[in-house]
Amino acid sequence: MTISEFVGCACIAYGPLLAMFVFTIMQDPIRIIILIAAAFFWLVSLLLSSVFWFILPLKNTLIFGVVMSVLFQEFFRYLIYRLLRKAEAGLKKVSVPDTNIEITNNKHVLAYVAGLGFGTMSGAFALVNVLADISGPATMGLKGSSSLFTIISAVLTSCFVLLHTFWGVIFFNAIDTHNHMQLAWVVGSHLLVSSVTLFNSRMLYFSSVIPAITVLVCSAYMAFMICGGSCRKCKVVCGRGGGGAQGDVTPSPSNSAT
Amino acid sequence: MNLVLFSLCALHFLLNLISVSCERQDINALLYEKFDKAASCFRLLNGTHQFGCSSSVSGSLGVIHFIQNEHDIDWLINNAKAGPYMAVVPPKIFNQRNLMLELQSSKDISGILLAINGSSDRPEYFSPDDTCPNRYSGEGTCSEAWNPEGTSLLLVDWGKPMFVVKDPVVISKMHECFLKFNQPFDDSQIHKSLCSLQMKSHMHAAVDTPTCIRRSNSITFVFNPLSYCDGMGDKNIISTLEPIKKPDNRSILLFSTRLDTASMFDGVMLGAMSTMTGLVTFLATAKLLSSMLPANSSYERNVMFAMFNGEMYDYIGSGRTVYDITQNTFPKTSNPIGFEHIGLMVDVSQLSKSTQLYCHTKKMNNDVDLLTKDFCRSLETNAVKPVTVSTEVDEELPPSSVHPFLKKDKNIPAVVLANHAKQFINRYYNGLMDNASNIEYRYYNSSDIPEGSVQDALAKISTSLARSLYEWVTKKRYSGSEVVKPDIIDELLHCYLESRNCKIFKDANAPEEKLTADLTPLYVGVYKSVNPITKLTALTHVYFTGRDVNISESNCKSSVDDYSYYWISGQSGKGECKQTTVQLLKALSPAFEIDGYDWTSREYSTWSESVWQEMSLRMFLKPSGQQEMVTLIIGLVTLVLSFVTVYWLKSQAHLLFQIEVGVAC
Repeated sequence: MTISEFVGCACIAYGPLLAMFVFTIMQDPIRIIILIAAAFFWLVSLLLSSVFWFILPLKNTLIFGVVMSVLFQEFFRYLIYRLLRKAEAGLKKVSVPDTNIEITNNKHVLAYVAGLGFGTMSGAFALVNVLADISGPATMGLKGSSSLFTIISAVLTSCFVLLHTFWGVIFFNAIDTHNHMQLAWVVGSHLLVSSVTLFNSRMLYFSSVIPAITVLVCSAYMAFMICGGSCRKCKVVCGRGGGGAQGDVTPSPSNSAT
Repeated sequence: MNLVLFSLCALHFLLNLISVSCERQDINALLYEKFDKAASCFRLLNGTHQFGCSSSVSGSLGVIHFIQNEHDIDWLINNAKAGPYMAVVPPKIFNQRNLMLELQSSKDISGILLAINGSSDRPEYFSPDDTCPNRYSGEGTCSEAWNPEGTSLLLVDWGKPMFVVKDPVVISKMHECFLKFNQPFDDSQIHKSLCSLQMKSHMHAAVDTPTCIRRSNSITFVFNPLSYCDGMGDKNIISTLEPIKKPDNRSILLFSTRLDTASMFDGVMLGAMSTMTGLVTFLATAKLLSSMLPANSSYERNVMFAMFNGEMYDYIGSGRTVYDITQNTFPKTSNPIGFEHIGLMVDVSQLSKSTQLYCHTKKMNNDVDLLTKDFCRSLETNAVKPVTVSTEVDEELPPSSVHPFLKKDKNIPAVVLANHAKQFINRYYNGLMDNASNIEYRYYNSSDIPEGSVQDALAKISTSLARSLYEWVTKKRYSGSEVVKPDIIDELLHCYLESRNCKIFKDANAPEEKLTADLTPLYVGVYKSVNPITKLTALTHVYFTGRDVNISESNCKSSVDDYSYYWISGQSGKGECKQTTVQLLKALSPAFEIDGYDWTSREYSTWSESVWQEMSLRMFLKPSGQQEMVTLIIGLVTLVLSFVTVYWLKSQAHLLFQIEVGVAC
């Protein structure tokens, strides 16, 4: 009966992801392959962190599992960075006409696609369980749980999808330019945002959503700057376009070859 | 100072996070509260109609509404807007047939939950059976209202699901949820999330038994091997005092009782007074009679013990026996008996702690009258104080296993023994509250049983009955001193009403058999599966009436000639071999076996039970339309906004991310 709740939550969580996929990934087979590869890497990191969680003590202290999982994810982000840098030479040779030029010309595109791959898989794992259950006749709130639960879950999932994308861009750039501050930002903010989601179990939803969104905005700005954007350009573009654009800033580096 | 404050805050924050422990919080468990102990009403069919309940395929949904009185029903049916509703009714409302039918016929009610709030929630009477049980299968017109408080709700086609909950914890959970979310009870309900129930009990069968059998037979595809309904029935337990060999006319006394109760809900019937008292008295009488009469005594007369199954559903067991007698296959094809051999039929019906026993006979105005009156008189003279017997001459006998026999041959002398005259004194006939407290039973566990208790009364009735049966067989009075001890009755009632893991059932089973403590309902069920209680009762009967023989365990199994052999624990617990004539005979209505049987003829029982896959009851919160809409709209807005933004960014990318040549990026 609450098929409308299902659709609503799915749109909140996966809407931005879908939009990015449609406009920036879909046309290029190489990008799709990289997206899937990144998603696979995220999956392996999840597998390894759950194996470690299973083997090591402190099973019941959730924060321990969270920290470990974050570290594993960042480690695998590094691995996919290495892999993609190695593959770069090969990618240049595989030239499908008019498609993968950007990938080879703009390093940020690779980072962006890999980040989105991470986000896709983590988004799927975060919400699919919840979505499957809320497609029934019931809504949250029966046993003292808040009716906001589903919508907050969806918003957080959406945040994580976008965060992973931005983190991907920042992370790759940080390693390329040996910028330790950016590296620390990625790992630190990932740890922070993952940890604050633990407040959800106490129904302190806003203490998890507000930090998550703050970190999201900061990361978005950083990624935007890294990719060569600036406030000045933004103003110019807005002025030109009639000031109609707003909303979250999604970096979609493309066509930057000059 | 600020730094200290900050680090304190940080510490607090960290501690807070560390203390979040890992417990599995299943989303499903947060959304739904499942009630496992709820029993569901199911669908039964007879030759012409369907009865009982069924939900829709995916389960029926409705907003909980607790009903206290007629006004609530009125509001629910005429004024409530946030429907459909699930009506939660107490037993006192369930007892009022007109109110229940109002709920049944309303489209705004999607299901009914009977909430019995603990054992103290007992109305003065509660019987969902007919005022004249087995109305259409008796030998007469059923002019007497034997069961005046009967509501006949068993014979209603509800068209919606119905569950019963007896656990006060479950009921208070529902009530709390109902008060928390559903108040106030007015039109504002439309705009709120409401506490609701889902009932899943979809029944596969419909219309009537012949339709359902035809549909079952027409399933030819292998990938759908499911049947829609099964004929009801089980096994009759039949034994004789001595093996039957060429009996004389009128030389067999058929001593009978019934084994089952009718039930509206799955797995909850005990039938303490409706069935158990009669059955227990029967078993104790058989035990005493077997020990009174020495082995291999060659009397002309014989006693046949018969426990008929499925009697509450138009006499399945006794109807089958009558059919087998006409086919010359009862009790064995080698030595069949006919109706002319039955010299007297004595049926033990409902009993209680009342020592006033009624000997019901039928007014015949011929020789048969003499035979039945003789027996009643013999019972009167053999009565052990304080049991008193009065003869009750009826136009029609009370509903009991004698009916199918009389329908076939009305000159069979038949007597029905019961604790009531023209009306049942049992006010819970085939009802959910017909349990130990209805017969004022409590387990004494081999301590002294006081006089005036139900155990004492039943023991004395059994003794009186065994003595008069002895007199009938031997044609002389019993001079010994053997009696039924109240302990036996105490133990038997404990087995049937409180725990199967009891002394007598343990003794009567094979030594390695493990018994569970739960209770088996006495509802007869479908013929395909044997009710465990039938097997236990048969073994108890073997244990009570079988003869000890010196045979080792390995040889003690087959049946030879007239006897069968059972290896049971016995009192010692080591195991002993019992020689017995006990047989388990088919109690399936012949209607299911006769080709081209006319299902509307009322000759034999036509009851069948629908097949179902799942029965479940769960509580959840139904979202308000407003909440659903808000979520949907936020979602759609997000989706559209993302598409617009990303498209815009992509189209402006060459301006936004313009990188000066030469900068490594």
